[in-house]
Amino acid sequence: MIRARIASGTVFVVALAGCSHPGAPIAPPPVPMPASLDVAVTDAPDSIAGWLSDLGAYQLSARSGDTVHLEPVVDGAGPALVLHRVPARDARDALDAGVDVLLTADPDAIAYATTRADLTSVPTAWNRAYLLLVRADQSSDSEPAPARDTARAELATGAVRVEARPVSAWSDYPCPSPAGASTATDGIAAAARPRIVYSRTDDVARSVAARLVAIGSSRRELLAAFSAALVNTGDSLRAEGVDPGDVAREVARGSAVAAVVAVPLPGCGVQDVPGMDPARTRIIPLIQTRERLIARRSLTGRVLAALAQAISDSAQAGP
Amino acid sequence: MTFRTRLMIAFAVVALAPLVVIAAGVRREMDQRLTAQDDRRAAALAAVASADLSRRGTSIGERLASLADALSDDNRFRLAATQADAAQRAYVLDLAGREMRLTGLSMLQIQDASGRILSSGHFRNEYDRLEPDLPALLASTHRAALVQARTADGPMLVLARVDSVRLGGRVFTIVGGDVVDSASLARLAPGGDFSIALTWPGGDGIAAAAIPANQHTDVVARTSVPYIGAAAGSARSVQSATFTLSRSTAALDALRQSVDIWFVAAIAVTATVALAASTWLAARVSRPLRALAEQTSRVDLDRLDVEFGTGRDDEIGALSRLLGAMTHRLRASAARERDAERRAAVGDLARQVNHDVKNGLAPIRHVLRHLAQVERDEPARLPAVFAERRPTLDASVEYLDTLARNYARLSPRLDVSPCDANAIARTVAAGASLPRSAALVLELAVDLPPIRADALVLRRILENLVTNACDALDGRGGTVTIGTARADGGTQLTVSDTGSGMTRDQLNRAFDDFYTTKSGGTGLGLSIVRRLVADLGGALRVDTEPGAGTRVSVTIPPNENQPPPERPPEPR
Repeated sequence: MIRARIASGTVFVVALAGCSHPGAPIAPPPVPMPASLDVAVTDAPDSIAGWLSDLGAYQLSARSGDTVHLEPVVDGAGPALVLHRVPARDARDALDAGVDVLLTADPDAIAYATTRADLTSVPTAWNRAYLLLVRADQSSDSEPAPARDTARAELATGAVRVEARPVSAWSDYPCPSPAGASTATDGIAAAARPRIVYSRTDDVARSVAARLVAIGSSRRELLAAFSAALVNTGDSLRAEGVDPGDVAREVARGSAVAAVVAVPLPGCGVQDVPGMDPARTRIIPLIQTRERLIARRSLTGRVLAALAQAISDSAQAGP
Repeated sequence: MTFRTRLMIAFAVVALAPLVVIAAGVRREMDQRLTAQDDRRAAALAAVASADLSRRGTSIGERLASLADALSDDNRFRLAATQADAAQRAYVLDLAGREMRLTGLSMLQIQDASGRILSSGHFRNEYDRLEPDLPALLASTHRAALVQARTADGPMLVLARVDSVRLGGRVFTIVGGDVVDSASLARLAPGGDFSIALTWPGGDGIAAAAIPANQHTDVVARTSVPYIGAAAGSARSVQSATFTLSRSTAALDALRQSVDIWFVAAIAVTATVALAASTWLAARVSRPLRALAEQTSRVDLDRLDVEFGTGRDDEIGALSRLLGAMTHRLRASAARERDAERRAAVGDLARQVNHDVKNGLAPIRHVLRHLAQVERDEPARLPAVFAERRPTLDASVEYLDTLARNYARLSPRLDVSPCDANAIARTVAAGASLPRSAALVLELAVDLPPIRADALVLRRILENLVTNACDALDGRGGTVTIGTARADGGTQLTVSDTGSGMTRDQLNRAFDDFYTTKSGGTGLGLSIVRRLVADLGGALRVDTEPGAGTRVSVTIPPNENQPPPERPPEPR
């Protein structure tokens, strides 16, 4: 399974040669595999390098600033890779410049790839879950499940611009049951500020929070499906971006009524959220998101085959 | 108030008054012109700000019209809006955001006929919310209006307009606008001296903080704009918001203050210079007057040798010359008067002598006639008769002899030699006949130089004066003071008493011969004193007041023929 630790909206570009895609309808003649390939990424190269290393085919060989060098685990099993960062808004420029592989959640880049006959795209596994954190003393699990599913679907279908699906049940999100959350109120402010906080670097979280604010005034029954405390804020509810490390902490200390955080999949990941206080925070899963791998149809070879296999495995885990 | 003080005040007033008048006039004129200029500038800038606001509204309308044209040509939007094509949903949701960025608007939302928001640029996830009243209210204003738009981050104030597009028989409204915040207000507020504030009902208002809060401002203009407030969940209505253009008076105040400071400085400098100049001029004018007054104060009938010589050709010089001429005439008059007095005195004396001699000769003549008659008629009795009448002859001769001695006293002869005035004063004091309860005090100058005079004359002068002073005590207690002092190079002898003093008439006749107020007095004492002082070339001054005593000062001038004091031989 591919363990993509790429934040939503970020892109990394892998330039490969000498590979062929097994699903390509028309496979051009294989090209010789170069000894070294440049790889451009839009997020932390270390995260991408770690993901590729998890594939088992590559290992880290060197690092210089934002550039990471990878080499095949088995000598001669593929070209060496050099990862470097490009801005997310330049993803389509990277495709136009002839990159071989592009991993992105950007809908514009994905839509652009569908217009290009020489490009193909496959989704990655659902690799990110977005959670709503609500103070335990101001929320309960008594909301009706059907309304909550409707609200999740509402978020997944229109609120975010990335590929998303609602988390229909806790089985989709293998974290501790919300029944384990405490309703302790000691040390928590009685009335939190009417705002939903999110990481100011996460566009998907911002969209989710904004939609929650929007339905707070127009479709309150949907908002109530998550937490009555959110509805009680009335029209004064706001969405506000904060530093990534402060999102969960704002809820824990009562300065926000709720928070939207992203955690990687598979796994729970809640324990890795900075400032998280499970005893005082109720966790409500909202949606899952994933990226797409955009590759040149002409690519063949062992690297792309390994990537495609991994992607295929991940895709099978999806709906 | 002295003449000098008056001069100083006059100079200061003459110098300062015009300056103060000019300063006040210039400041008033400058203030009026600056204020008028500032008012014109403020009015012009207010017009520019108002025009800019109107231009922004027009620009928003033009962009919305352009967007409406674009939407009518947008098939994907048409499919989603009229055919409910779900495949175009994501496109429509992001449509307003794209168009908002393209048109440079800060707020844009597309609504269907029911008021449902199909796409929102400023609040993307606001879709499906119903807001039917906003387009209608905006349309009712017929121009740009301020709208409280909703975003995920909170309310946003925008200057908005509304347009519409018809697709497939359905009307879709487009509401768009520019954000109105402190930055946009600052662009409306021209220049650093102006600030613009926006207030609306129920809001805190916003302001372009171009002017520090501690500065005083004047409202230049107010412009009302339709305002559509109220958040979702309550009915919206059209109210009125106000743009207030204010002007800081700090620059004008600072200019006024600066001008005031300079005026005060100029007045201070002028006052200082005027004071110095007036002091100098007053001193220059008053100094010769004071000198003239001092010279004039020394003029006395017995001291008419004061010189008023001057080289000045101004009024003070003329006055000096007039006083000098007057003194000269007084000297001449005094000389003539003295001569007349002398002549009168000689005549009186001659008549007195004639009378006295006749009185002395009359018995002798009678005795001689009697003796001649006896010798002719009875010669034998002549010895007896002579013996009988001889006492008469002797008495007459004695009388004449006494008379001669008395008259001889009126014409002493001077025996001038260096003499010690202090020693003479002590001698006179020793022989003074004081009343029993009176005291005599000596106030003698130390190191008084010897004066060339007749010691006997000096003694007679002092004896007469001391005798008169003792008599003035009239047997009562009191003090007689004999003093010596230097005076203008000469020596001054003074005799003062605390006696009865003299009236003006008594003083006027005190120096007449034979005038006396004392029983048994000869009336020659002060007359002799005056003549003796005149013989010595000195001056006589009497200060007296009835009941307060009398002070007689005799000033003996330095004797120019006096040889310098002998110097001890130099040691070899």
